[in-house]
Amino acid sequence: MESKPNYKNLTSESYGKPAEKQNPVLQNLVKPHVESFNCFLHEGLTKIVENLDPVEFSLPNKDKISLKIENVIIASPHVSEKAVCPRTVKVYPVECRGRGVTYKGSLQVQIGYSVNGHVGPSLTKNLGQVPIMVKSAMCNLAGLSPKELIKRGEEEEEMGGYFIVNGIEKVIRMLVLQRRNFPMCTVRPTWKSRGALFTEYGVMMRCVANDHSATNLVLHYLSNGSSQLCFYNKNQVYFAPIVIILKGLVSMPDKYIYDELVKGKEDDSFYKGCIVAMLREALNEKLYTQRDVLEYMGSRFRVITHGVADWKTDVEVGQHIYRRCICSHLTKDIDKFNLLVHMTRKLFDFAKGRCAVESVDSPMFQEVLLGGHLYQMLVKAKLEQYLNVLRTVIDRHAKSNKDGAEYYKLTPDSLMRALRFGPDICKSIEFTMSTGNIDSQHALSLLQMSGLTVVADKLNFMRFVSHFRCIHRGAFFGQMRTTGVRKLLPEAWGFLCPVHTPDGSPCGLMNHASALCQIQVFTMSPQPVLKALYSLGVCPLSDPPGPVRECYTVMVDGKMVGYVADDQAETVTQKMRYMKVKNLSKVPSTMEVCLVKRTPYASQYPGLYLFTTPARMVRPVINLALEQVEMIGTFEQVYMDICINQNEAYEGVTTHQELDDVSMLSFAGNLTPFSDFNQSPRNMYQCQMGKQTMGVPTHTLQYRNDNKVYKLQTPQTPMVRPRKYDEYDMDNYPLGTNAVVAVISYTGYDMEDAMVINKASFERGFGHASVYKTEMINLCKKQTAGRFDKTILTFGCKPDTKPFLEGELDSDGLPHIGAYLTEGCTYYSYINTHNGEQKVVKYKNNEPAWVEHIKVLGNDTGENMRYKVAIMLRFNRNPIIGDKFASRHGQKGVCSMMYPVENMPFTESGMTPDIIFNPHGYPSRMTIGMMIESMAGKSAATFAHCYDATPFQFSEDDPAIDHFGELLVKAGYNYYGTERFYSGVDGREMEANVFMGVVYYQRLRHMVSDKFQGEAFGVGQVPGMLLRGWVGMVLRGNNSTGVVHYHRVRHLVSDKFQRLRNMVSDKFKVRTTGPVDPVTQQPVKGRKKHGGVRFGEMERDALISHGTPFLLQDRLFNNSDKTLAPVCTKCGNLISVSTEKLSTLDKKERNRSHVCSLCKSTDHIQMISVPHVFKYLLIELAAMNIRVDLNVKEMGCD
Amino acid sequence: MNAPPTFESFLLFEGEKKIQIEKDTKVPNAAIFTINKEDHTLGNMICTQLRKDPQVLFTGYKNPHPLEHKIVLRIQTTADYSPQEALTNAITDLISEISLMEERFREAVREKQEGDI
Amino acid sequence: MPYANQPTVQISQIEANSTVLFDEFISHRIGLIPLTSDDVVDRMQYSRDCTCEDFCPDCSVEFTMDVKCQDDVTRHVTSADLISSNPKIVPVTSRNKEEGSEYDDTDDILIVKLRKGQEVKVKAFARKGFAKEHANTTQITLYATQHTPNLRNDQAPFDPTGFPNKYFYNVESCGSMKPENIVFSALARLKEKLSNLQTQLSHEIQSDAEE
Repeated sequence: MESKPNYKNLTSESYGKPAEKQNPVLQNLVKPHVESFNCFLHEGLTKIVENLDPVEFSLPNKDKISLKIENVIIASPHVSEKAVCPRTVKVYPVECRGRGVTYKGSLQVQIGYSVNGHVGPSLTKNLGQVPIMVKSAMCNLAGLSPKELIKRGEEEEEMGGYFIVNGIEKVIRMLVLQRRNFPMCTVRPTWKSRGALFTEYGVMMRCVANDHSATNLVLHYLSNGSSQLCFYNKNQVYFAPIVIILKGLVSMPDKYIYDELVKGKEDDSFYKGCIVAMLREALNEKLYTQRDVLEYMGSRFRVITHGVADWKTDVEVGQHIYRRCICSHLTKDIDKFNLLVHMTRKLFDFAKGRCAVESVDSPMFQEVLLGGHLYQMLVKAKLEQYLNVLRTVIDRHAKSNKDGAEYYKLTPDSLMRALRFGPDICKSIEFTMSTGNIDSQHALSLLQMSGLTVVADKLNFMRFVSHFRCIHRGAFFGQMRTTGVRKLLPEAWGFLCPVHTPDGSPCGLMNHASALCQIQVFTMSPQPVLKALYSLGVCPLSDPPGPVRECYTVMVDGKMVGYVADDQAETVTQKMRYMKVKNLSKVPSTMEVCLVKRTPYASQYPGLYLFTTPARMVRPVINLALEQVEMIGTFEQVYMDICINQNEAYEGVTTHQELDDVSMLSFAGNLTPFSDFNQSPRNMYQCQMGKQTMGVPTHTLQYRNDNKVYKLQTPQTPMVRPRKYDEYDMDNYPLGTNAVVAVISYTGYDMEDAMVINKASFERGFGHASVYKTEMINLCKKQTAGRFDKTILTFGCKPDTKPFLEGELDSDGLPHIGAYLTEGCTYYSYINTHNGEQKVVKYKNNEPAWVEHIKVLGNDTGENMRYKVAIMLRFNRNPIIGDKFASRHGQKGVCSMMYPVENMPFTESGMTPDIIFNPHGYPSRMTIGMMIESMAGKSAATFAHCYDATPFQFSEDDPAIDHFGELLVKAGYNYYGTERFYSGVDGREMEANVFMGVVYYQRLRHMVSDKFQGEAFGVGQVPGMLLRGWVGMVLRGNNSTGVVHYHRVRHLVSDKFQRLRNMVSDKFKVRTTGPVDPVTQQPVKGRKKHGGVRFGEMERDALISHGTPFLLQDRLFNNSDKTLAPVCTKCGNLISVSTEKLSTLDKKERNRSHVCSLCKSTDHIQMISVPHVFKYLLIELAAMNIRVDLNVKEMGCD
Repeated sequence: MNAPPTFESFLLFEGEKKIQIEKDTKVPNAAIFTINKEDHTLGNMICTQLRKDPQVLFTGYKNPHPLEHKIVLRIQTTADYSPQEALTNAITDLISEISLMEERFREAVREKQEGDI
Repeated sequence: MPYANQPTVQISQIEANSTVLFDEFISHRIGLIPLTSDDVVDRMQYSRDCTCEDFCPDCSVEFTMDVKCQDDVTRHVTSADLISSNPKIVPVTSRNKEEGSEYDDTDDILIVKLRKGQEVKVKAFARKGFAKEHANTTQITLYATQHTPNLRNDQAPFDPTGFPNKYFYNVESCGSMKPENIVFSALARLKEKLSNLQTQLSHEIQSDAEE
């Protein structure tokens, strides 16, 4: 780990050759995703089967039917049985990406049924295919070595963790959820409105069963000293007094319940009074025994509980409700009872201010919803739906039975028939994966129903990996006005990266896990933990070791397991930790053990808490006593003493140490060099910008069909880089180039974050890049009628036609590889096989492109290769003025000028900088890291070394400046990295010393070519000439001229650099070209639609204040929606005028005159020019019975 | 995308003159020379040379815009002298100075080569 | 200032390319290879001034490159594979093989790497240009001026009011021309520019006078 960064990849013989094994560091980054899906495949499917209630109902013949899913099997992706001579039976992800289909495996269920308790034979049904996560256990890539992966068209370091849906890589977003099975003291003002006497105090708990299905419980405090339990059933809220709920759980006298509730609080007379009052209250309801309560509950819930058979008794229904809705993570009633008792005690302590509030916004009380877990919930919900639909199908079949409904019997045959009408649940699962939306009916107890999946954008490696490390707080919180949820809390240390969050609306909601943070995926059995606890002196609840008020309660995964005496608690905790770290007696190593001690002031509710549940965030630290790595969780971390390095340790206090100084940083945060020298928001900006950088996104471009891929032509390895850069093998996916940067205000073209680029550097290849776009052409979609999978069209070009003879197209109707396409040239051609007609399609994009490669795509069975192709085009995107660049310190800038090298300033040694950076970029932004990188880069370049830029390597006693300053002196440079400069204009020496060094620059994907808006006319067509406002550069080639409109001005706006000159020239009459809105006749908006640019009120004000009415009229009227409209000068009506009715005799339309339908005359009609939108306004007003008369007067001749 | 072709920086457009003279009407004996497709290399050199001329009262040059490949040179002289003459003299002097330098340099190179042998 | 002339590969036609790099990338890389031009450059025509239609021996030099990788080992295509039609104009790295001693032994410049089955076939024309047109026609990698008084050459006592009257020029060539020839070429170019201006000026003065 301590190895310094080096250039070994430059010289190493083995570099570029596939390794034996994949890099575990990278694999660990996506581990939660892959493992969670494996968890779903291994244990999730059986848990679904276990937890899925059988669907029970009666047939018309009174047969009691029970339908149950007995087994679920998911298979790895295979080719369809109908496939024509496939090369392998397995389907690999590369094929799905290339063909734009879903990577899926079949889902098979075994459905069992019983009639009146007699079990029938179970039937196997193939439900279709569901998306399979890449590199999961069911993926055909599982366990392949880098070499084999490359053979399958994958990256060497392919990490998986995503699904391929319609050829697009989709990740299930990790969402923050409330920590499961832990009752939390919460204050929520909205609770006051839940009913009379309700207060804002409550104890909230999210109960999660072992199949990840969750139900919520809230124990409310009422101002009269009583308590109500709020529970949910099918998204409906119910309230019941806690005492009644408790009564339904145990068949014990009230005295027992009272004793349990007041245990340890015997001297709290208020509390005791409250309990007595509540128990008395319950008696008024005439609910005396457990059976009474269950019956009462059953009778109330029967109506709304679907799936409970009509022959079930009220007590059974009541038990069902208890099982499903109350403490659903526990199975035994006595456990539920004990937990609710604990919650009640906690609630009253909390309400009386004896313990502190616990916030859901703190990572301490949070866990993470993993992709596999969500998938499992989804599959379960869908299977449940399937059974319910199956029931209605059987009902329907019974009702429509020919022999009468009473004679319908459920047999294997009739069930088989019903199965055929079952719903297609696989399609909806695939739909969820592709859109990220889930149906509202089974919202899976989540707060949001959309945005659950995101595209794993392969813009560059940093962005790609960050998708898998992203943890979102939930879309719901984005709407919240309060900023509390967005706060970075100290509890997040080491789990969530403090710098890697975007600024703007998702700030603080979209976080990224720290690089080492893992998420516990598999469910652990708590049994070894319990055994260990009891062996260490924890006493069962029934047998406390002493007075309960001198004991800590012990809770394991939301289950009360016993008491431990105050004086023993510490030892038990330590021993448990020892067993956890040493992995003794099967105590899981990711267990959390935390003793919350009693304090004289109100703090967290005391007790010994242990967690083994999945979905918790855990991270490694060094246990100093055991000198071993320990995984710690968010809950226990708060009560632990962890030092960052040895110097910080306090004897006798510190128990743990961080693995690394930078362990709180995320993958992206780790890649910022010298981030400890920068102002913190700059590091956040870099985390954002690093993800928008052009680099090498993939090595499998030829197999992929990405919509848009950015690729840097000559990427370099940074000379100054953090250690993690090597750890992550970032040399495989480099993101920028080392540039010589001079900090000087030289030409004026470097104002306001603009940067001047040396033209010679550019010509030698600085920042050269390409954009690759894939166009899928499906001829099926071109035919007007017929099925999409069969077509009469086929690609081809007849040998006697022009495109073939001139060598533009091949006989297959497709362009040559490497062909240069410009607007209007031949693109491809296809032939109608019925009538033999050939249609040639032209290339429509106005940006020229080269054909990179073409893939001919078939269908699932490997046939029909002639109608679907994917053409990948390459666009040249070498830097031009207006393109965006950034260093790795949140210092972005736009290229404002390519300055000729002979006019660039040069140093004593004759060197000219590649980039001129304005010194004003430093003072307010305080990116000292960039300055140090500059110095380090300079000495790195002179000594051919690679310097470590990991943060926290330097200190006050050993400053970075000194270190690199001395190196620079050794190299013969100035200590501070400055140099004497000579003017490039006249060769005179400059007075000031200029700071120059080497900085790694990133090229960002935002390019003018994608952003400029306007129409491009051919040369000579329009004599107008545009000047770039700032740059004054003449735009030639495609002389674009402004055609300006009322609201939107259609001219060339390339970022903020271009302004208009010669808007209307004499030869060029007023015209409105381009698409217009059908209602207002004004130009539409949007660059994609060739729309105009809005000329808004502020712009209008500017023209008015400048006193330029002609310009104003030109922009807002002539070039917008000017229309000639007939008006009746007599009645002054604009909309009453219509064209004369066509007389039957005179069929010539041309000579029809306008007639005013009010005056019934054609004499007073005049033509005036008005904005079309004005006419529209009059019509709208007329619809509201308002007439507008215009006072039209003739003002001389026109 | 719409970058002007590189030859614009040194090839005269069709019909474009290398040098244009414009009288500065505000001051006597002053003229503004516009030299197309030249840059600081020549401008700075001529300007410096002109400054050595005692009869030149003012001289200065500018490159109005880095993307316009021309320089504008303004010369003001004493009454018995014209800016045109000053410029012609400056150019002549420069040519001879460069020739001299070339010659000396050639000699120095030869000396060095002979010294090596 | 760097105004001397130098031929470089400017136009290349890629006839076959199955490498991992695309055509423009390869031609850009070829274009950046410095060519020897010491003796011939003055005799060469600018191709835009030449009377020929496309390229002719007067204004250009043809290069060809045809490499195919047949082995399992990665084939490095370098400047050595660029075959010139004129023995005087070759990539600078290829020169030492013929002339030997004068320049240090240098590595050939890598253009592209080929794996088995890949090939690249290029026909390229080198023509004369200068650095103002494109950076690949520059022959100077470094040039510097230093004014006196300078700390490195402080034989004379430092005079803070002194005006620089002594210049040190430091010229480093990329190998295509000898440094002294670069200086000669630059001086000649300056002279040419000035005399051209002189003629133009006298024409202008004359026509002014006529008016």
